[in-house]
Amino acid sequence: MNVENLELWKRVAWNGISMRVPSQWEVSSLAKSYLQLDDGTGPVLELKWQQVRGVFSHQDHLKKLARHSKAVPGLSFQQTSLPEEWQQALRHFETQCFEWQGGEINGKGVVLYCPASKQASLLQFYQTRGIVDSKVQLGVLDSFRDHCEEDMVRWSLFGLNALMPKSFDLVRYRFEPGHYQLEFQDRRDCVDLNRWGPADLLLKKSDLRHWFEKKCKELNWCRSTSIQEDSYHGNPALYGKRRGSDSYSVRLWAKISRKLPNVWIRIWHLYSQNQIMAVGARSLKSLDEQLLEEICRNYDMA
Amino acid sequence: MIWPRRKKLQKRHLKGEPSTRTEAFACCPVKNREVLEEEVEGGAVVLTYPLVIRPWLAAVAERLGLRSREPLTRRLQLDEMGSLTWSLLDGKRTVKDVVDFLCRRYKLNRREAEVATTGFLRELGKRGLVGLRSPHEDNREKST
Repeated sequence: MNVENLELWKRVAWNGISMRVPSQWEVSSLAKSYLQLDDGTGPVLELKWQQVRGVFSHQDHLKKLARHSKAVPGLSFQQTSLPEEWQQALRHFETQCFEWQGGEINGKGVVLYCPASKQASLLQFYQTRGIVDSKVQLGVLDSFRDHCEEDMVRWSLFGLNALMPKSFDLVRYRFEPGHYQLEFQDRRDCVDLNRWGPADLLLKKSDLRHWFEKKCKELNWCRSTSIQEDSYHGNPALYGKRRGSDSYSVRLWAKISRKLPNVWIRIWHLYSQNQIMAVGARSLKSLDEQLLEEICRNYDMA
Repeated sequence: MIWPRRKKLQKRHLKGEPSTRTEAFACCPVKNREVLEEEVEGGAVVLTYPLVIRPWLAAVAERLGLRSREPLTRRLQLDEMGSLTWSLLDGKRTVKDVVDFLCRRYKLNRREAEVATTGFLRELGKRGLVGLRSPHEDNREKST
């Protein structure tokens, strides 16, 4: 593996954590606080992370891991000291290393606790048939961040890149061939990021507007909004917004019917990547359009 | 008395079945010769294939006089991407070649193209429209 070309590595950022990984590594399994990456031949890295309330004990977690490993026949698990070359990369964390051996696959991992974010993370590298690329492991650990210090949090997965405000939590996600969707929520504000592709196939028989009106079922909630044709950074686009009344009765009805009165949407055909991108927002209160414009500006495909 | 332990049936690793991901991607999808294909308006492909009925169901249908003598067939219309993928299955291209082509043609993320292609081939495989020929079989054919 070419470690010298570190700038060719890609960023993986998901739900607060971020790191750089070799370009051939791809996410093979994910949950809100879990990632597994493989290199095309099998799993290479697994991550779990969780916010900790109260005091964190490395020993408790390692005991749990050891107990789980006993249930697997032929698997030996032991605690180890932090390798010297990892010490600099993980200097901001409280650490405890471990190793396991089982048949053809071995594992080497570390339990991290960040006192600043009060978050615990578990990273483990899989080593098949004794092949250990310690430089790659070091590169990954060196770039690993378990929290973001800026106001906007990065999301990078499967070529999709976005920056979302810290206050927005991921509610739902889907990565299906042809359609990616990330749904975020901050109290009563909802923001959806969508991506459909390949655009030349979807738009073969109709233009963006007709496609949206006929096919796009994922954004049903904005149907009543008057959508107009627009241009976004030189790409054909659609734009629409609906501003509901701020009166108490309207807000009460919105709460009961769960139809949020303020809607904002932008859809654009990203020619360079052959994709259709969309940012949609719904809220009980009036929407922060500047923020939504910023989300659109930072939302693209690599 | 000790009863002999029944051997567990293993679903995986049937004879000739690819056991790793790399092996699976090196296999060549081969079309079923009994499948008829026709192109309809807009370039979409419609596949007509014989329907295989479970023998016990066929026997029941025959007893009840519900089964006609003509072989039953089904039709399947592929969408544009499916039609293109179907046209790429020439018995020489591997699954990996098909994925590479779709990545280039539609600028798809590699994993997305892999999931779409393997899902499509799996669906066709369930209906008996395609089979996978492993590279070992190719080598064996060449040597003989």
